[in-house]
Amino acid sequence: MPDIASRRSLVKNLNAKIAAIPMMLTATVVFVGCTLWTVVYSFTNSRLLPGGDWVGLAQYERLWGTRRWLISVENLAIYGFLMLVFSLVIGFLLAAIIDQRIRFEDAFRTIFLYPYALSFIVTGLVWQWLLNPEFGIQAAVRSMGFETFAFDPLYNSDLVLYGVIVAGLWHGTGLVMCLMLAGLRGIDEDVWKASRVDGIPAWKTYIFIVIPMMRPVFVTTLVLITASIIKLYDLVIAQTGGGPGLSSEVPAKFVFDAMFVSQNLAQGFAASTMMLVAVIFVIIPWAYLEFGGKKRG
Amino acid sequence: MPLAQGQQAWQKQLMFNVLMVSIGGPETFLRLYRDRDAEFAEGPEVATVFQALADARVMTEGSNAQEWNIAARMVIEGQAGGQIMGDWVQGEFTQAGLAAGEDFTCLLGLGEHEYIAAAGDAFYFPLIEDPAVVEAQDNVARVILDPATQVAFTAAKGALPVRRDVELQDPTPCMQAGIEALQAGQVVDSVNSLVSPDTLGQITDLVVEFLADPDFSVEESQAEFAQIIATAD
Repeated sequence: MPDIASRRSLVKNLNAKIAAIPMMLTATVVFVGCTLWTVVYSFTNSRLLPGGDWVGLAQYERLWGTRRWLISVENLAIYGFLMLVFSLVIGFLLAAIIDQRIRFEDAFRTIFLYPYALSFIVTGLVWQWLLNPEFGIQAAVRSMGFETFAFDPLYNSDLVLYGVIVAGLWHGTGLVMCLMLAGLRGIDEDVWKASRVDGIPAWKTYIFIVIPMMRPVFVTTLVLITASIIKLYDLVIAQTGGGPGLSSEVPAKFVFDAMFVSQNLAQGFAASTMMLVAVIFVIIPWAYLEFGGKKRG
Repeated sequence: MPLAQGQQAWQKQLMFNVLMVSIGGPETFLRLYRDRDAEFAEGPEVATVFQALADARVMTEGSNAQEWNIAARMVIEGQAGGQIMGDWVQGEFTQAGLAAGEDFTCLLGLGEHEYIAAAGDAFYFPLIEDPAVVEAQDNVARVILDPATQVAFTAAKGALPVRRDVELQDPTPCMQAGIEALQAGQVVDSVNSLVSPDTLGQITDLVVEFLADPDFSVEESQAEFAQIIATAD
């Protein structure tokens, strides 16, 4: 009786299925639905309110002819690359150091993780003050007697992005460290014993044995870091406001300004669609590698 | 430094359009933003304005304040020679204990074309049937526009009243100059009411980039400006 069997499988775990309905609706209506809506309206000439006429790819042509957008994309690429590399490297090194059974481990872990508890706005403001020449690091060093000391990254077009990256790293590496530490603690003690018996130096054990074993942790960390990179907005707002000039503009800020300052919704939608495309380009190859073909485990 | 300048985008755009009215003159201003004459935007009149903006770029070097009132503080404390800002900045000076005409003064239209760009914020009331609420709305409107309110408010803010029939109690020399310009009809529409926020956003981006980059040439920026005027709406 296939009919009854299928009905039974529908009724099976009914409570769980009912409980999942709100999340399923949220996922389909809010995430997928609103995404599609945004993409569709990026082909119109909507201004303050959605609507307007169909203009095809005109918004995208204008977008890629706008220097501010190109600067934003370039900035995000630089920020993303450096953020990814440095937060993984620094996070892993910190975790490896703490994993040496050092004294006051809890204290250090707390100190390193604390910045993550602050919002990007607070982080941005703190680092804006630290890097401000009038009352930050430059003023402190000068008051110690080094009158000609100059350290003014936030008001220098070539350096401002690195000032933002430093603040981003300060904020984010603690979390990476904690994830890495959890991964390191998950490695069986016997692996270490075996490698010690074989006389393999500790750094080699880390790079060739421990890190490959920590692959799932790295994947999780990568997803978290990438998400925080793409949505970079509030840090820049608090720290530099996109300046000096346009030299620390980022795509998310472009989208916000296009939609709510310039009152050009469609242009903002086109920009956010390009951000989505960028995310898809990253996610699809990764998902294919991760889940494609074979079952995990 | 000669000129204090806050780093926020709107302040730079404001400075640019003050230069447009003051250096270029009101005809230039209107021909660009009202008539959207792109050919004119490439011409010599607009070139002088961009040249003035390039001079301002040199004069504001090292002005690292973000907010307009911090920039005003640099003038108040004597670190900067002056600031290009709306009339509301007078409130900051008065609050710092300085007297208009004695400790500081205003240069309407930079002393060239003494025009005022008039802009105002608006109050909107929702349409409601309930007569009690309607009466309350009327009351609010009446109080806001009451001559006594206007006198007190403009005295504190340092700005000009929205009614022309109000007699200000001993207006400062700055306010006096403003009132005279208003009465002589030396007023242009604010750029905000002439072009769309989208066009203004493009102009702002251009000005912000120009002011931050000493290698951005006058010719190049003027050509891009003409492009924006050609597609303005």
